[in-house]
Amino acid sequence: MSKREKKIGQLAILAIMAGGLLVGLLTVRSTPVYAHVVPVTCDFTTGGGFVYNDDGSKVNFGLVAGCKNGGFFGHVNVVNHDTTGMFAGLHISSDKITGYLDPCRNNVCGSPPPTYRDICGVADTNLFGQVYFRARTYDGGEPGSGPKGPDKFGIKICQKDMNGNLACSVYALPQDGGPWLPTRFLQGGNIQLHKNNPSTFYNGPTDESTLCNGVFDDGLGF
Amino acid sequence: MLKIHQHRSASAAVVLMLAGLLTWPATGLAQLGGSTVVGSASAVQATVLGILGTGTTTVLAGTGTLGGTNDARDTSMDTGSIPSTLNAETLSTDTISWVDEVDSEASLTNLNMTVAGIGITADLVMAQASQVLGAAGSGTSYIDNLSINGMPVAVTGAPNQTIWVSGGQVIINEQTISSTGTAVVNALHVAITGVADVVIASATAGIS
Repeated sequence: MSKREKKIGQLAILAIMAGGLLVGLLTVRSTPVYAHVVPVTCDFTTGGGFVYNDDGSKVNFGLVAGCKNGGFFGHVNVVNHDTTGMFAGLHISSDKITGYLDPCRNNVCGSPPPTYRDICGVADTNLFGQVYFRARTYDGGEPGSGPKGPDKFGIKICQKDMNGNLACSVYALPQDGGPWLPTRFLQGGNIQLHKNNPSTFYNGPTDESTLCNGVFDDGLGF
Repeated sequence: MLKIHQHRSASAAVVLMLAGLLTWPATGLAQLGGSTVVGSASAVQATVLGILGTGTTTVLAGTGTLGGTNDARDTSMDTGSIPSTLNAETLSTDTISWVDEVDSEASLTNLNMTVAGIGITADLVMAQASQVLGAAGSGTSYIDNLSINGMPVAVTGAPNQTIWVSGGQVIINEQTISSTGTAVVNALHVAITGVADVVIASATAGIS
């Protein structure tokens, strides 16, 4: 690659970043295998802590989400301490929780279903403007963090490209830093899945695409 | 005469029935909604004393107090700071109530603070408090990689672990259970006499 080509590439990346688009990532999502839906007896999840990026840098997070009085409530905040790649220094701050789902409902992950929950919504970021997100939590027991968790956290953020297709962080190319951030063990903190209660019910739309703004769980992992 | 008497009797019966009907749901609601709930959480509550002894209190990511049963409050900040005192990330708090339970949580990451020249850092600080109606409240704290003045501190997990520092103390996993069972959990409480009182990750939950 010539110096001129490199320069053009760098300028293109800068333009993309300035435009607030997640272009440069794969844009076509796969068709979901399962329809993930709101938990039968809805509940809520709280958590805070950190996971490691593949290069060992930290991703800090804090969250609460669930069903309450017929709707969803909560928030998700993430701060990425990676210093390289497209997502270096990324801050995610949710505006609205639009969905709270059990990705293992109907025993699609085995029986009894492991205690995963997905949190979907809209968030502001410091790098890409507003994005759709889907965070995944797993409460594997107490205490929840260590080299092998057992608790887990992951998140994918997406934006629509000019053709209306979703460009999602879990399909970032190696030169952009690689996929960010498939589900992984907590290295610090805890995820707590709280039991359901009569007021933790939900009575709105139930289709996954609506709840998650078209962001399915492909690439998010377990 | 007899007819009038019957009418009066019938009227009295209707009045009694109406009174009963009015009383019955009122009693039911009182039983359902009669619980008194206490719930709140804050990521940081810092009171810094001035030279005249007056205190200035700053709260970061405070939920406020629950409005009653079946309420939920939460708040968050991706970063938070109090100038010259502390910086932290992903401040997250919530408090939620039902007719028979209250749960509250507070957490933050990447804590870096200095109080009266004492430096305190931690990767994660979290407090959880809960009370189920009829039982005593309970709570837990999670703290990862706590250091005071650069020295790592082994967190035992026991309530009210106290580290004495110059001019005051640092209480880890400070827990108080009131006479009604309300649980107050402060994951980290730094109290420097005459200088500052800083609580990191505080959760309160009570129902009676």
